[in-house]
Amino acid sequence: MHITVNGRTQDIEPGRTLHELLLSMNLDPSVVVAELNQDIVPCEKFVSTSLSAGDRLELLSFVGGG
Amino acid sequence: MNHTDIFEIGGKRLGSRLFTGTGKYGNDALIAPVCESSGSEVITVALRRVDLDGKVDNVMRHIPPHMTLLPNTSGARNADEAVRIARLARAMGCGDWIKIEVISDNRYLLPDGYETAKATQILARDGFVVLPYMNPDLYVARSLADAGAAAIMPLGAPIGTNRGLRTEEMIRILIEEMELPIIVDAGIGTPSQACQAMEMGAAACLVNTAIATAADPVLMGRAFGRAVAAGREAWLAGPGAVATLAQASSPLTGFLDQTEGAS
Repeated sequence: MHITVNGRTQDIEPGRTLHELLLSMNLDPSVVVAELNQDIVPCEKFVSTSLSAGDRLELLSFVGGG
Repeated sequence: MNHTDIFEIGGKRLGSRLFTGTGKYGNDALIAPVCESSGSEVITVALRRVDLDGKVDNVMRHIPPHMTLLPNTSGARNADEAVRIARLARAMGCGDWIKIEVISDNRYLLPDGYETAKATQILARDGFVVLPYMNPDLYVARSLADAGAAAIMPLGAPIGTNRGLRTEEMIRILIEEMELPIIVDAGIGTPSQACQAMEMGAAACLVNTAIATAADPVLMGRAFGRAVAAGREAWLAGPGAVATLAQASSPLTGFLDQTEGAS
């Protein structure tokens, strides 16, 4: 099924959790914040949040800035 | 550093009045040594989309754990976007401090005072420690104070220009008129400028570009740490009066070979 991650369309297995998706993308869940369909997903809910077709996901992390 | 002078802000007691940034480093591995050399205890970061192509290193790796994190809302062009970014930043679990940066001017990166005040009100009510970046305008400062800001952060000059305290007179007015701490943020290009801001009575300085883009950021960080501490001590020591005519430093009597008056 298709979801959008950071503006890019991605094909993922149905029922995949956010935690599983991060790991599959070689991302460390502890340094990422997630906004799913404009709602922030608390980090403790990554493992229990399943993704659905058409979901719009934003994954962000801290970078250098002033 | 003078540790008897503590800066209390946002529930913290800081021993340094120099805030630093993590932007523009040619090598992010210098961030930790700069934190040490400068003595800074507060450091800014930005929040951006994760690089899905995996090329961008995570800046948090380089920030010593004792530092207080001050995420900024850079990228926000209005209050709603600033609030959204602030909430995402807080979700990282690194504290609830936020630097509000609302900018839609791409040439001078001047902050939008109205939108900044709106975001400050929402976020302060939501329990954030809000440090808003602003153009030094007394009315905007009062709005920010009324909205619950923990400090006011006026610019000395546009971001990244290293032009110093171009807004010196306006900053001086804010320091005089406002009860909230005034933290000069943006444009400070040299340690002497940071020292000058502190001598004027600023509560702290935030310096990013001048340190990160110096030929030797670690050494420049140390210079800035000393300059901010020196300026603070000068302010606390109470400088002497400024005069037009000379006022001799040595006695005006008892000179060698002085002719005494005839009796």
